[in-house]
Amino acid sequence: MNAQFKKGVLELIVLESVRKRDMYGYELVAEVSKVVDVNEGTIYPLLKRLTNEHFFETYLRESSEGPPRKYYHLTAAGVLYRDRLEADWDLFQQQVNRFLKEQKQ
Amino acid sequence: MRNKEWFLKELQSRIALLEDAEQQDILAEYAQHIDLRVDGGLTEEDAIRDFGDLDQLAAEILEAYHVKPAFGQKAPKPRPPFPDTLRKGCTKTGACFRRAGSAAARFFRRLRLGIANGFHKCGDKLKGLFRRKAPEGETPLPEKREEAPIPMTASQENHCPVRTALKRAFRALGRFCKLLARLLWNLALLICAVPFACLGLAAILCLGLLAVLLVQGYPLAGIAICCVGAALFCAGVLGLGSSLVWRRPVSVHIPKTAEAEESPVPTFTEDPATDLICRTVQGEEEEAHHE
Repeated sequence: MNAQFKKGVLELIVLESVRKRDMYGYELVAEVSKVVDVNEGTIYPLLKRLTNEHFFETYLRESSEGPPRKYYHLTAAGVLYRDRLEADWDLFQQQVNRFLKEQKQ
Repeated sequence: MRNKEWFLKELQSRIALLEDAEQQDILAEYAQHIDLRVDGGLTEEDAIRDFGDLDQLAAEILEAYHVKPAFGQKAPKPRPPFPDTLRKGCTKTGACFRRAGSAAARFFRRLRLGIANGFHKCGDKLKGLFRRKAPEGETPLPEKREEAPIPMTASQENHCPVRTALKRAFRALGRFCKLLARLLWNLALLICAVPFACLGLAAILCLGLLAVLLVQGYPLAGIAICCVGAALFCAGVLGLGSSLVWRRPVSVHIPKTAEAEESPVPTFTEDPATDLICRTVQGEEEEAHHE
């Protein structure tokens, strides 16, 4: 898939994944990779950015195996941001689809 | 080689401008990710490869903090020695090329001088050969004109007239042969010279065209220099050729020109001056008469 497409919707997918339940980094990467085949390196910087913008909160939780894991939790601001992104996405894809249909006719 | 420690060290060096706590936070996350991938059955190297380009990764992390990505590049450490060595290498190779060039120039200068000398010698020899071929006509002429009258008269008195006639005939034949040889030689030279002259003119024409294109920014400096070389070569060949031209013996010409110079000069200097004076005087007189 086009890398620019992926980059645009990656934020929405990450936000949506964390909305249902809190996740740690590796888990989140695996979850996102189910939807779009994405470079793992790009997800951590994205998480960092969303955390810096207060859309995520992080906390450490002990795990049964290995060191404690950093979990990401969507904040209220994050939920609002996610909703806005979803609305943007709907509008955007509707417009693009309509345009493509019009061109075909 | 590309194991977890290497990756974390490299990454840390690129995000070193962040706070230590942030650095540790980021590195811990990547370390954990790699550990989990290894647990899942991947090697460390494969796990690192999935992160993609390290510079891009560091740039994206820094972007999350609104930092210019350029600060993440390990610019100051590895770069200074590299251009230094490069510069040194360049200067060394440049010096080598300069030395080689000057040596080549010296060699070619010597070669050219040698060739030129050889050509001159050849030309002299050829001239000598042709002179020897027709000695009856050329060399005896100036000498015999001074000395001949005495033996000629003696021979006319002593020997029969048939011999003298034969001698004259031989001399005329020799003169004719010499003339013919000179004509052929010069004609051959001319025929040889024509293609070189054409080539030289073409080279100069090309040079002009290339100079115009060069000014317009086309990369044609090399070809232009080649054209200069071709033109100079043709000029050199023509110069050498012109030194081989078999001219008329100079000794015959000198008395003629001397006579010509002696006789007309005084008349020429006398005539116009007197003419002018006469004319002006006449004109004035006429004007005076008219008035």
